[in-house]
Amino acid sequence: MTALAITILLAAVAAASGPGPTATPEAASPITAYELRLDLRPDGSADVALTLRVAASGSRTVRVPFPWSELTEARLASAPPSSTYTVTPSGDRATLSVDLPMAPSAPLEIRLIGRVKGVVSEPGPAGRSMRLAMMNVEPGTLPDLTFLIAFPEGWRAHAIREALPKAGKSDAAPRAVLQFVDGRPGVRLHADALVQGEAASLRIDLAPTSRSPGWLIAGLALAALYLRSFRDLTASMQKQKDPP
Amino acid sequence: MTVGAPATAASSEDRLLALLDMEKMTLSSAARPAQGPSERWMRYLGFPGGILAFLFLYYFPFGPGLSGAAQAGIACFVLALVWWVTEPFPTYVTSLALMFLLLTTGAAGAKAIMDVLGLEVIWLNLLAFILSAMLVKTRLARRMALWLVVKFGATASWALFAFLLLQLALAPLIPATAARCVMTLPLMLVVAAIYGSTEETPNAFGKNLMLLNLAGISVLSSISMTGSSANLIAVGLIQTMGGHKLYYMDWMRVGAPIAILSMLSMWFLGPRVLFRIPEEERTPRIPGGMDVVRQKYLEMGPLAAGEKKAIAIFGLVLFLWMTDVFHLRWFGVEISAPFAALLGALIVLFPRWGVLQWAEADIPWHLLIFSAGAYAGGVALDDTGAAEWAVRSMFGSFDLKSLPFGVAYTLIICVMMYSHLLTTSKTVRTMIMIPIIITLTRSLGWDPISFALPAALCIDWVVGLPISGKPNVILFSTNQYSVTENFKYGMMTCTIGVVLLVLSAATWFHWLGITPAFWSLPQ
Repeated sequence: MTALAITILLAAVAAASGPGPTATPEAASPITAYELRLDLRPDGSADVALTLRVAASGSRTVRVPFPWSELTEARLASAPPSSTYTVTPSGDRATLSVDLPMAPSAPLEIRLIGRVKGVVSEPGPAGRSMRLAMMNVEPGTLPDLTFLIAFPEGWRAHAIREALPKAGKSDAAPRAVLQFVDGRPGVRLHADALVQGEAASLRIDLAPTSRSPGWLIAGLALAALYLRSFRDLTASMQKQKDPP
Repeated sequence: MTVGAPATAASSEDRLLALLDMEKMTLSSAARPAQGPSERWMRYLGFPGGILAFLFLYYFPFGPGLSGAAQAGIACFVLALVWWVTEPFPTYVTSLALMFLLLTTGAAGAKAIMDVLGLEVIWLNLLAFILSAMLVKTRLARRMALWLVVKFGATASWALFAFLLLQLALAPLIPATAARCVMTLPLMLVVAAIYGSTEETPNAFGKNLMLLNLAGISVLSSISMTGSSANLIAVGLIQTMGGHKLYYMDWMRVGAPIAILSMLSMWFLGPRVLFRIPEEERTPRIPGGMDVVRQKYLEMGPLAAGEKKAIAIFGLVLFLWMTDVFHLRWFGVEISAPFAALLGALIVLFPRWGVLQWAEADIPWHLLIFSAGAYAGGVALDDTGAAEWAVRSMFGSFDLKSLPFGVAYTLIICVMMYSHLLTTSKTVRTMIMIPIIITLTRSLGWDPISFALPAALCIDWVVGLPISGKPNVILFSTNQYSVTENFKYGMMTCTIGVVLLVLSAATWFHWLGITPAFWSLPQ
């Protein structure tokens, strides 16, 4: 019953998002890999590069979920000539449609670049945080999904608060791994497949790369105070009456 | 724990009675006095030493693979570890400091830290101490201890061996290690006291007795795959990821010899190498010797009504602990170890029908706070990914591709065995390590079972520190040994285990078809 309700709900969501203005009624092209790279900037915006690998198929439209409703300064950096794209917002997310001049007869790579705003929160007393979330509302499974994010200059991950889909018991590696991305601290999330209705998300708290000297000062002061106040601990056993 | 004023008793009989008067026994929260100048210096320098370790780990640039929270968690945990080992102040004070630091450095949230007091292990400890108090109050513990000493306690060596047999017998019956520990703790205390070891005057026998039981309780859990829930998780991972179905006897025929041989080695080596028992401590330290002990045992007469009640209550709890696999079928719900103990505590404290008043149940809150701090640190290491990062860094630093099987096997077994020092949860360690080992060995071209099964046998060997396992926390409260002594004993036990596992890989496991030839190279 619950599964049926979810299926109906997902179908409704997919229907509400509707086909893009340039989309054709043909079935979506089979995607073989979905890689989203984010270069986070100190002002909270991010340079986005979405790379799709598409297998040969009979469809000339590629439709994939997109985590934001708006993409500015966007252009197709890699695609067959005369290809066009459309971002169709649905709530705070969107569906990206790429119309190819003809159905691909061989595997090809499509690369869309642009910029999104407000990916990272403003710096506050507790640092900053970023969230990237996406649900696969398209029919079929999205295979080989990767999010690759480089943190803003001068910032590092304080904690990974959420990394979905959850890693299975038999997954040897965690879902999200902190690593260098383009020479900067960053994170990589990878899932072998994102089935229809499943969400992929990443929520990370960021902290400045250089730590405050507060702990250093407090620690050294406390250590010095202890060494001075507890000198009697090293006195001879006879003199020692009250162990701490 | 301290035994009420035994040292001042004049006559031999009075002295024995004082030793056996466990009703006066209270769980001491006082700091263990320093034993010698080196320990005093260690305490003095331990505090700044812990702070320096914290500052180094907190500020060191480990690279992007380690999150800020994980780095802070490691720094806090190591600080606490230094303080627990050097003991500049009581262990529970260190735990409180650790919990505060975890919050203020951002290593863990307030809820995660506070929630540890509700963990199953804390409840089990609390309830098991009520059951233990019942054994003491009804004098059943005294009767059992006297019987044990009369039958096996003529010499220190046989008394230790009797406890080893006791733990060996209990291991397959009661999977909960804390339960095994608490039900045998009163016996340990009385027998230690009979051999002259109390909290005020701990001696080599007491250290050997407590630490042999500590190691025995944990290590003997690795005899069977049902010895702990972590073993079963490992079996599941080996099956799903490694593609090998493991049967009960598959595990037992490799696990039992290693565990039993290791414990026999420690029974032999502990009193001779680590904590040498002097000649005069090898027999009961009671003027009048065994005759007085025997006489006191006979004087107890037949079982009193309270003792019978205690046997019935403990029998019920024991029955529930032993039959947990049938609960779902019988009752429609599984009564886990803490809830079985809870039922026992309910009956024990029940007006008129029970045997204890709440005030008589000596709940060691300082011990529970110590445990809570240790678990909060462990939870922070696990949740932030610090433990996983440490394990992966360790494996990543080895180039296992060109190594013969035996060398790679030895390295992996060492990492698995000693990694228990980095975490306080067997389950989490299993969930982190076993999948990594299976993936790693497969990528190297070995059959995963040849590494994963021997590695799984190390899961229960959590013997290195008082925070490494539930029985460790409980036994540490006896104040009969220090953290350093626990570490020495634990490391020796683990090292014997590693040596036996490596020797077995070259012989026994190879003959069984589990491991390839020791010096063979990857395919």
